[in-house]
Order: sequence, then C-alpha cells, then structure tokens
Amino acid sequence: MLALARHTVLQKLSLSAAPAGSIAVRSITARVPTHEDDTHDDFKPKFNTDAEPRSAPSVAEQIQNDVQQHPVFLYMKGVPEAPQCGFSNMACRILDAYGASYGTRNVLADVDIREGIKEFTKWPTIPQIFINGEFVGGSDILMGMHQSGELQPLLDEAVTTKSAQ
Amino acid sequence: MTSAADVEQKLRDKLKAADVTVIDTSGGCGASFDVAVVSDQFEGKRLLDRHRMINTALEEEMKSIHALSIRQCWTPEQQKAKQPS
Repeated sequence: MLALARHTVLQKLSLSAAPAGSIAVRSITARVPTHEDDTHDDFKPKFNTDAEPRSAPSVAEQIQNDVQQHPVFLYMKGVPEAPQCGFSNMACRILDAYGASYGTRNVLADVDIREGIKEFTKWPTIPQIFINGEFVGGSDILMGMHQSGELQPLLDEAVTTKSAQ
Repeated sequence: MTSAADVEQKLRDKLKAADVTVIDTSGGCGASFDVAVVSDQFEGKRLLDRHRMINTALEEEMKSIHALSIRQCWTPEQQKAKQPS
C-alpha cells in the first residue's frame, strides 16, 4: 500500500519536473507551419486557399456529367434528408411526392459548383432542377409545373429514358 | 438596400407590367421578396423564359437579393381567366 502511494507521488513529481516551457514553445511553432519547414511534399500543409481555382470548363464539364448521367438532377443547399434552405426543401419534397429518384449536389459544400451552376444556366438562384439533361428551372417553376400537371409527364419521360438505356 | 418599391418600379419599367405585387419577405433587410407580375410581354413565353425575364429585369437588385420567389407571372388574359371578377 505504501509502495503504491509512493509510486503515485513519484509519477506526479516526474510530471511536474517536465520542462513546461519547452512544451509551450513547441506547440506555438507547430501552430504556424511554413512551407520551408517541411522537407517532403507529403508533410506540407495543404490549404484549400493554396489550391489553384478550378477552371470554368472543368466545372461546366462536371455539371454536364451530372445532368446527363441522372434523368433527374438537383443542385441544392444541403442534402435531400436535410435541406439547408426552404426553397431546396420544397424542390426535394415535390420530387419525393412523385417518388422520383434523383441525384443531387450540395452547392454549400462546393463553392466552384455554387457559382459555376449559376453561370452555366444563367440562373441566379439555387435550387436548380434538371430533367432529361435539360434545365427546368427553380423551385417556383417546379411547384408551378406540379400544380399545372406538367411535371408528371416530364418525370415519366425521364424514367422511360433511363430504363431504355 | 433594395426596397419593395424599387423592385416594383423596375418590373413596371422593364417588363411594362400592368400589375405588380411585391411583398418584402425579408423581415427588414431587403434580401427576400415575393413577386407577382402581370405583363403582356409574357405572351407566348414558357414559364422558364418568363422567370428569366424577371431575373434579367432585376439583374442589378439580384446582387443583393438572396431569395426571390416568383409567385405568379401571367399575361393579362391569364389573370382575367384566373380571377373572374
């Protein structure tokens, strides 16, 4: 029992004996890494701000791929399970009501896509809905087409196109 | 800051709108509007194109507007048909 107690005391002593100052200095230098400090590419900090901005064509290509590979595709804020904007939510719920399966991309997670999609469609707002690779509009248009009955045939066509492929 | 009156004036001027209703839904900051527009320039235009016309008319304002809800964009004939009075 005595031996155990002494052991604990020794441990405490050895901890307090550690040069606290050197630890603090190390943590400060660790917080401000510079490129020169690193000797290998693998250890260099990789900040998004350092990355070359993606060129416009590659964003456009990605959008082309998205909308051509999915009969119904939605650029939105958040994800269908948790939209981060009322308009994006409305678009998801309308598509859900038709039981449509659709691909989505969260523009909040990708600033290049967020700006790129507006440029691509010359449409200033999110969400943006594509059916059969064609830009249909935003959430107000989707709601309008739902109310006028135009949406069902368009989605039917999208499903038929997909199953024919 | 954009006001509902600014938006209404722009739509009347640029789209020769006969009837414009603009509701500021921003709660004061002027970044969110609900609009309804009746214009004979919508004649023969698809819904998408009508929305584009409104977006283009408000191009300057859209830089500071975060959310624009276009509730209605009708031709005068459509308005008459939908609101018989």
